[in-house]
Amino acid sequence: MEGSQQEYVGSGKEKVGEVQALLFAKAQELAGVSQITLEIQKGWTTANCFEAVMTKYPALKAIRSCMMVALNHDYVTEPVAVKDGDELALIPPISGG
Amino acid sequence: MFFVFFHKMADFTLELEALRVENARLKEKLKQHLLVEDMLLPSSSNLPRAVIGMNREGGENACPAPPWIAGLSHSLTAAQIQRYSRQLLLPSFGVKAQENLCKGSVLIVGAGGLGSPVALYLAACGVGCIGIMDPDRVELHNLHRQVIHNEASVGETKVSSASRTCLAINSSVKVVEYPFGLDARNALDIMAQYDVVVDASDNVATRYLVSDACVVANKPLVSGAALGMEGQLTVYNYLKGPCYRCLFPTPSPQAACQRCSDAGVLGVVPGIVGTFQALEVIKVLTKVGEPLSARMLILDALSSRIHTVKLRGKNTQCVACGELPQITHITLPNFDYEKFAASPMSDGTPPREQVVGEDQSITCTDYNKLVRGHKSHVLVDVREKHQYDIASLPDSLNIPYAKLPQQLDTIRAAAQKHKHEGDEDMSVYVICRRGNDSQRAVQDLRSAGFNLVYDITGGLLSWAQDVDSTFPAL
Repeated sequence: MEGSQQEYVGSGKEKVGEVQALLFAKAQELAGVSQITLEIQKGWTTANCFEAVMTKYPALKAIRSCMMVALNHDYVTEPVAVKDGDELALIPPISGG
Repeated sequence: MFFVFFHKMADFTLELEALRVENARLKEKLKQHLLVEDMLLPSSSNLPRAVIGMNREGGENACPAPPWIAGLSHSLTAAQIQRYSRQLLLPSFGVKAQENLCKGSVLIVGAGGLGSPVALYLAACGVGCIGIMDPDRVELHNLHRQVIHNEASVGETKVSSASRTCLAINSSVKVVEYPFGLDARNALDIMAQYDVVVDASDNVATRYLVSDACVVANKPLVSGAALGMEGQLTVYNYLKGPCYRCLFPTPSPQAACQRCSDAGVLGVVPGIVGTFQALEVIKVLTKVGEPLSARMLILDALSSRIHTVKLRGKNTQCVACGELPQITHITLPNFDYEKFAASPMSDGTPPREQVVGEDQSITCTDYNKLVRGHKSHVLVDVREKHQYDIASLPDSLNIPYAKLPQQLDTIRAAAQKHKHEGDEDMSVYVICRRGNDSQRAVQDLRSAGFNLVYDITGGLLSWAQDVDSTFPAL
């Protein structure tokens, strides 16, 4: 299945580390990948990472307002600084039963 | 004379012996009946259960109590102790937890893939009263995941089928049937009668309603969802944890695309999530363990991974559970959940869209006549490949709708191939599952310069209905 693919997104600027972005449910389906390695720059927050994912996969913009964002298994509402080795999860709700 | 007397004595002795045997047999039978009756007594009975057991087992001379009754500090009967022995033996569980289950009540919204294991396990473990709510009837394509139903219950309401299975497992629990859907007007009254609510529904609109109603009615909500190869599970509105709206204040604009009836689901996935839901209900009712409040469990069945995400606390701005709630027992019954979620309160067929006019479409019946008349044409099926592979019409060309812009030349080439000398432009007919994507494809193809492009109205579902009843339309 498509979901097992991994992608690499370089920032093109001074690299200070990498963040793994995990995509779930509809986000995984729209992007066609389940995991993205993001190159992060100095001073980056979860918001920068989120936007980098949106830029790389514009199809995700359709559900951007209803995705839950978690950094290292903790839900985040406000932008939080990220560091090398962090894990960012984008979780849209599912509703089937 | 003597002989006659002797014979009569012998007859009398034999008869006496037969009566003794019969008496013993009836006594044994009576004992069995009483034991079963004891087991069947409704758990809501106000009679002290231990006393009933004592009288029954006291035998002919009724009382005194068997020695084990003395000093009992719980209300479980001998039959209950036997039935639930394997969970009573758990050091972390014990009689107190079992008593809480026996007097607990749970409302299960949805008797489908999630609701099946929830109801089965809650009945089996002895939850006193189980309300089951679902407006649907059992269909054959439910059975791969909705394991509470069986072939014999196809066509029956899901609640009556589920109720029968629950009672077959444990006839001492009470099952209340609600053969209709939860709506804004009935939600609060029904929920008020239960200790815990389980969201085992299959659509976004119902999920917002269940969550809001649980906040207003002040009930813990054990919420599960499953789609494709993924599952999600959380206990909302419990121990200062958030509600569904705190996490997802705005419904997904693509909510309607996330139905099991469209996206598919592997049967065991809701089975796992529903079983987890039953576990969380047991923990909430018994106050044993650490319920999944303010945490979300995410099941990735494809890679066999379970992620647990720590959630936010209550959102103080939440319109349902925040400091200034707008959803209250007064406003909730008038809230239009289907409009809010922009999707219906069901997993059924979505309404047919009307994108192209009648001059750009053809009915299945008319298309069939055209095929029988051997009129050359191109038939494009715009479903995804994995759906096309299940069953398709002969000589159709599979170009999934998402790939249409890159495949225009393929259609042009096919049209050219079928074209005979002197023919006009070749007609192109487009079909899909329900007739919605095919209409969009007709629009796109016309914009791309194809003139004779037509939608086959109602798609393969209509084909199966109007032309070929043997076609396996899904």
